[in-house]
Amino acid sequence: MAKIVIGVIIAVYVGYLIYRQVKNIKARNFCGSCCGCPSAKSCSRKSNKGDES
Amino acid sequence: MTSTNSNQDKFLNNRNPNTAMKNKMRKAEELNIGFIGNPNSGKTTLFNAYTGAQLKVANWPGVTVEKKEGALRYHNHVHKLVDLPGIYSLTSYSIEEKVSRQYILSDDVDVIVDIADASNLERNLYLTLQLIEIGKPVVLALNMMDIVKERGMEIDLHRLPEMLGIPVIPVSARKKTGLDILMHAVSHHKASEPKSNDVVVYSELIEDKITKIIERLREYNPDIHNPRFYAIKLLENDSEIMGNCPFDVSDIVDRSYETEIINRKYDFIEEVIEEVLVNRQERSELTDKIDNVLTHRILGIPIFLGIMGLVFFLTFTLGDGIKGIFEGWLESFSVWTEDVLLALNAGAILKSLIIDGIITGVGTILTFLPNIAILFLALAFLEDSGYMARVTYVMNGIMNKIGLTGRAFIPMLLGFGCTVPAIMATRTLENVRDRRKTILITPFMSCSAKIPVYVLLSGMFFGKFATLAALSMYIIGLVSGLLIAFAATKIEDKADQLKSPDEKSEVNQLLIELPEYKNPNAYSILIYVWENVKAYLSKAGTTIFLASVVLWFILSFGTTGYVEDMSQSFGAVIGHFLVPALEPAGLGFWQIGVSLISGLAAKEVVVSSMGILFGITSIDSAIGLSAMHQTLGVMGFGALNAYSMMIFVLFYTPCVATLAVTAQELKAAKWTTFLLIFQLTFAWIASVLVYQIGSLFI
Repeated sequence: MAKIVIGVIIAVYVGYLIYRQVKNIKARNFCGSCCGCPSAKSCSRKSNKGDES
Repeated sequence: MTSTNSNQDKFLNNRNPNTAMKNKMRKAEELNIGFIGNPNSGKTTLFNAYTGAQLKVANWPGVTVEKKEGALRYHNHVHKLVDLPGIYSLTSYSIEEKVSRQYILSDDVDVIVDIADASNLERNLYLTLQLIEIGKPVVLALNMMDIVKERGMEIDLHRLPEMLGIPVIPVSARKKTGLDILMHAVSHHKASEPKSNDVVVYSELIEDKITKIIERLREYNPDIHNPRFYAIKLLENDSEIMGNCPFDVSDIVDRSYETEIINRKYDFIEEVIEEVLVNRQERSELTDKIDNVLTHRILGIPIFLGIMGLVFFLTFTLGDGIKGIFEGWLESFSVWTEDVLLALNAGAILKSLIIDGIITGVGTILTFLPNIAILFLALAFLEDSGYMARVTYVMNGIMNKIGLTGRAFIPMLLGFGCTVPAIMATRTLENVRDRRKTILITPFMSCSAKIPVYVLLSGMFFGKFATLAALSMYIIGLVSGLLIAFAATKIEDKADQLKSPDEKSEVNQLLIELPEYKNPNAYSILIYVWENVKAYLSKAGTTIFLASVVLWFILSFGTTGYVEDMSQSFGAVIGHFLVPALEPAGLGFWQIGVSLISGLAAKEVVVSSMGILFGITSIDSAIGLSAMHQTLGVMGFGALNAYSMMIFVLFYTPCVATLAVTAQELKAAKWTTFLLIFQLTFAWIASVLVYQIGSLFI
């Protein structure tokens, strides 16, 4: 049972990561998932996008 | 409605009844406060102090390139704070000036807080006078009062507000003093506008023209709120305001009166300074003494190279010392997980996914955390002390020779941390060509993600010369970047010869403020390092996790299903496809091909993929290094191949995020495609040259 739970947790997490990547790409929020960027917190790209539109 | 019409409406209907009503309703609940000021006047530090945010601050101008918002609850009222990019004036030339001006002129801001560096009052007051002319409530926050006191200077805080007609509050954002009084002043000042927005009185001729333009503006829109500001801007021939002006003013504005207007403002500033500043001292003696050495005409560049050399030396040597602890943890965790999976009687596939895929892939990257932390600690120290701005000045001569402004060196320096924000930082460059060239060469600066690759390969093959081999990557990257920019300029020059003189590009002269040297603030440095460490951990848990699982999948499954032997996997098929192309560079091994492709997700994945490919959990430990060295040796992969691979990693596309942000910044698919092809081709040619020439000697 436990091994099934572990497998499911990994599968769900991988699914979530893929979903997030796809969502970011669709939103043209490339840089990105932001997780790789040291300026992620200081970057207000999302809010600015709203302003631009 | 066309965009021009829309702009014209904005130009004259900036206080239309509907908007005013909406704002009135909003004002009952919240107050929008815009933080504006000269670059490096401490806006973001003050913003962080109020909001508890941890936005990047640094002791050099141009850190903030976009507006950032935060909230503050003050006496049961919600105040929205907006941190704007630093600007010297309300003239729109660069992107950050445009961002700040548009926001300040919009209805979104209720009170303007002008943050001025009190130790450089003369320079900061120019923007203050322009803000007063807008006619909105302005509060002047005199920041860095601690420095004023340290230098034995005094500011007459009674006379200054009298002369300017606005409240003046002394604060120290770093020491968090005066913050309550400033917010108190903002709250009480929200309804009141400057006593007079004609603090600066111009010559009779100009004042007469201002009156005429105001009359015409009022005819067009009786509700116009700040006609004096627009009238002055029209007289200055401000291209944006002129372009959006819905009627002809050529009978009044017969020429540009910009010089007279600027001069009059500076005359007034001189009068203010004479009256309010006691013991005037422009710069600290200590700053001058240090600058005599660090920005020396001849010694400046060697000192910079020496300092950066020391930064990377510490990154590799000191980081390696601490890394052992992390490797021990990883090893213990791996053994513990294996025991747990054994006890659970887990199947071979699940066990392989967790041990060989996730723990090896993610864990390998985590062991490099000390190196990353030390790099950012050193960079934070340099930024906070005020040295980074000097580097721009020191490098200006060389940058001019290659056809770029010294300002372009700031993104290149940021590129040593992460290429994504470095590319975004090119927004501070006014010239489009400068931006393109800087974006072209910034990825050649070795970002922190390349550190694991350098540490691994140099540690494995270069013994006592490992640090030297890793350091050479930084020098090769920097020199190559400069040479490419030079070549690009030459190509542009040739193209310009065919154009008319008007179309030709010109090098922008460097105008950069050299801030005072400061004792680095421990809190700012800790935040900077923590933000980067957190980003690294987050990257390991997301991008690298996903890449490791995908990699494990393509290396564990083949046409026959689950395979024990990776050479039968889908990954091997992909890798073999690349072998012929990589062969001349000494990288003709399918495993290397796979790890280089996976490196496009993030450069660290090159290392984690090697761990997965060669089945070594603690790839960076002495045992791991020895095991991998042996395996690679059997394959015929030696020191020359390793150096060639380091060169390839240095030059090829840093990651997909970099490419995406490039596309976003340049807004041109052809330039982004060109960049991708250029980076891959250049990386290939450089590694082929290194391997082929090296083969002649080894």
